[in-house]
Amino acid sequence: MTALLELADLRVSARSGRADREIVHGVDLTVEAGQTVAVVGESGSGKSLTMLAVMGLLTDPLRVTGGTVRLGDRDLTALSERELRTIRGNDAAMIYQDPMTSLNPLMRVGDQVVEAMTAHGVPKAEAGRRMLDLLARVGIPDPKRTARAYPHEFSGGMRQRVMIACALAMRPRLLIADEPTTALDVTIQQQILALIDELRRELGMTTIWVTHDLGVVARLVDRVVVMYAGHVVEDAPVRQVFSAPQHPYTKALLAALPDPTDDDRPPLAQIPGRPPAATDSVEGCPFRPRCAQAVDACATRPALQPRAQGRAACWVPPHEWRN
Amino acid sequence: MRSIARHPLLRRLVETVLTLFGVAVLVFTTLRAIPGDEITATLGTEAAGLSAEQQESLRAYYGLDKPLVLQFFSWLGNVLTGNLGFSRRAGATVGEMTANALPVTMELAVLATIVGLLIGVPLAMLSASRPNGVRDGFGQLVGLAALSVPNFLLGAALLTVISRYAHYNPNAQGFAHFTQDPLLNLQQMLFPALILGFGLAAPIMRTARSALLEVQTQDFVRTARGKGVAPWRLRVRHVLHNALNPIVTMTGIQFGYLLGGAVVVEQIFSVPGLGRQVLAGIQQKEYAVVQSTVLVIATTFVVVNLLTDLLYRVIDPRVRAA
Repeated sequence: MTALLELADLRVSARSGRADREIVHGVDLTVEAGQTVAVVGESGSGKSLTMLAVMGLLTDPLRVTGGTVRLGDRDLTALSERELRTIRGNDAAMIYQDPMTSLNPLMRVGDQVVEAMTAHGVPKAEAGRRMLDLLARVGIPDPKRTARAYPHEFSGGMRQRVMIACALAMRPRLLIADEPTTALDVTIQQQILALIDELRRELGMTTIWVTHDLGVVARLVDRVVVMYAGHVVEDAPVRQVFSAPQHPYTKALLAALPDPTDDDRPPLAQIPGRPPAATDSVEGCPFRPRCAQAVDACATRPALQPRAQGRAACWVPPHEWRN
Repeated sequence: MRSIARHPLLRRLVETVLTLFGVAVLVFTTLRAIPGDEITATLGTEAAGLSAEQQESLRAYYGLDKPLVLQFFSWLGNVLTGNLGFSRRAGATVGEMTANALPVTMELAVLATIVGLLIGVPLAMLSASRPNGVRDGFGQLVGLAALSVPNFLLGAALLTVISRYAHYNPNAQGFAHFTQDPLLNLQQMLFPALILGFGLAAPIMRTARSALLEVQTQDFVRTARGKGVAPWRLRVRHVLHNALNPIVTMTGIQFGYLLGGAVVVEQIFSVPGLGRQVLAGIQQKEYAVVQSTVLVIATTFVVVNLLTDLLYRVIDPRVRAA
C-alpha cells in the first residue's frame, strides 16, 4: 500500500507576543490510501489543530512551525495559498464539528454545495445538477425545494448532511471528519456516522475520524492514533488498542468508556488530574503527572517506539504495569 | 383587539408619532428660549423705539400675543392640514421652500453616503485583511484623520485651493437644480459630497472593520476556505455579506445626521439645502420656518430608519422569518 497522507514532525504553534508557544509537538503519522484512521484524544490534545494544519486552515495566531505534510506526492507546507486552494475541497475535504455555525447563514444551502464545485472550475449549470444529486444522496428530502432553503430552516442533523454534501462534492481522496457528531442529538449521531461511513466505502475515500470518544468510531476504523498534550502517544490497529493498549493513557481512556454489560466496573472511570495546559512546559513524558505506571525513566520524554503491532511512546511495557 | 395593539407595525407607528410630537415640542420650546423674536430680528435696535401700541399690534400680527400652548397647537394644526407656514424673508410658503430644499439635501446626503461607503468599506476590508499589519495601520490612520478633521476646515481649504489654483469653482454661480442642469448640478455637488463623504467614511470604516474582523473568525468562513473558495469571493460573499447589518445601521444613522447637519458645508458651498433653510429661519426668528423644517427633517429621518429596517430583511433571511 502507498501512503496517501504523511505527517513528519509536524509542529503547530500559537504566536503570543513575540514568542511562539508550541501546541502540537512534532506529530508523525502515516495514513495509507484507503485506510480509515481514528485520531483520539481529550479536548486540547491537539488533534483538531493537527488536522486543520493538514488542510492549511490554521488562522492567526496559530501556524505550522515545523515539519511536513505530504498528500500524495506533494508537500502541502511548501505550497502557496493559491496552490493550496486547488487542493482544499478537491483532493482533501473536511467535515467540521458544529454544523450550526459551519454554514453561511445568509446563503441558500444549495448554493453552498454548488460553491464547493465552482471553486474548482466546475461550470455552474453542471454544479447545479450535481448538487441536487448530492443532496439526495446525503438523505435530504425534496432537494429541488430544500436547496433553496437557508441554513436556519434546517435541523442540526440536516445541516451536517449539507456539510457532508459540500465535502464530498469533488470526490476527495482524503476526508477528515472532525467530531462530526459531537454537536448532534444521540439519535442523529448514528445516522450521520453511518452515512459518512457508507459514502467512504462508495467513493473509496481515505478517512480520518477525529474524536474524543473512542467508542463512537471503534467499529468504523482500521487504526487508532491516540494523542495527548500535542504528542502522539500510541498508534496501533484498532483491535489491539482495545485488547492490549500499549500506553497507560490509552488504557485509561478505554476504562473511561461506559460499558453497560459489565456490572463490576464503576459506571464512569476518571483519569485523575487534568492534561497540561498549553502554557505549561512539561519535562519528560507529558502524561507522567497523571500516570499510574510512572517510573524514574519517565523524566525523559519517550519517543514513539515500535511494538509487536503499532507504536507507543512509553518506557514501561504493558507486562510491567501495576494495576 | 389585544393582538392588533401588539402588532409590531402598529407599535412602530405609535412610537413614530410620539417621537415626532416630542421633536415638535422640543423645537418649539427651544426656539422660544432664544432671546428676541421676529420683530426684533427684523427691526433690530429700532424695535425699542416703537410705541407700546405699535409693539402690541406687531405682536398681534405675528401671533406672538397668544398663549404659548395656543401658538403651539395652532401651528401643529396647520402643519397637519398641510400648511407649514410662511416666510416673510423668502416671500414663500415653507411648503414651497421645503419642496425646493428637500430634494437638494436628499441628493447631497445620498451622494455623500455613496462616497462614504466607497471609501469606508474598501478601507475596512483592507484593514481587516491583515489586522494589526501595515495596511491596518494605514486604514486606521486615514479613518482617524477623517474623523478628526472638521469639515468646515476641509471644505474651506478645498474650496480655496481648487478655485484659486485650478480656477475651478462651479459653486460660485447660482445653484442649479438637478432637473435644470444635471451636469452643472453634479459639479456643484461634487465637493460638498466629497467632504461630507470623507467625514462619513470614518465611522463607516470603523464599524465595518470591527464587524469584518468578527465575521472572519466564524466557522462558516473556515468552511468556505476549506472548500477552496477564491479569496475575493470569500471576502465579499461570505465575510462582507455577513458584516452588512452593522454597516447598514451606521450608514442609516449617519445619513440621518446629514439631513440637518450639513449646514456648514451647505453654507460654504452655497448649496440651498434644508440645513441652510433652518439656519436662516433661526437667524430671522421665523418660528414656523424652523419648526416645520425640523419636523420635515425628523420625519425623513424616521422614514430612513424604516427603510434601514427593511434593508435588514433583504440582507438576512433569518430576520425575514422572524
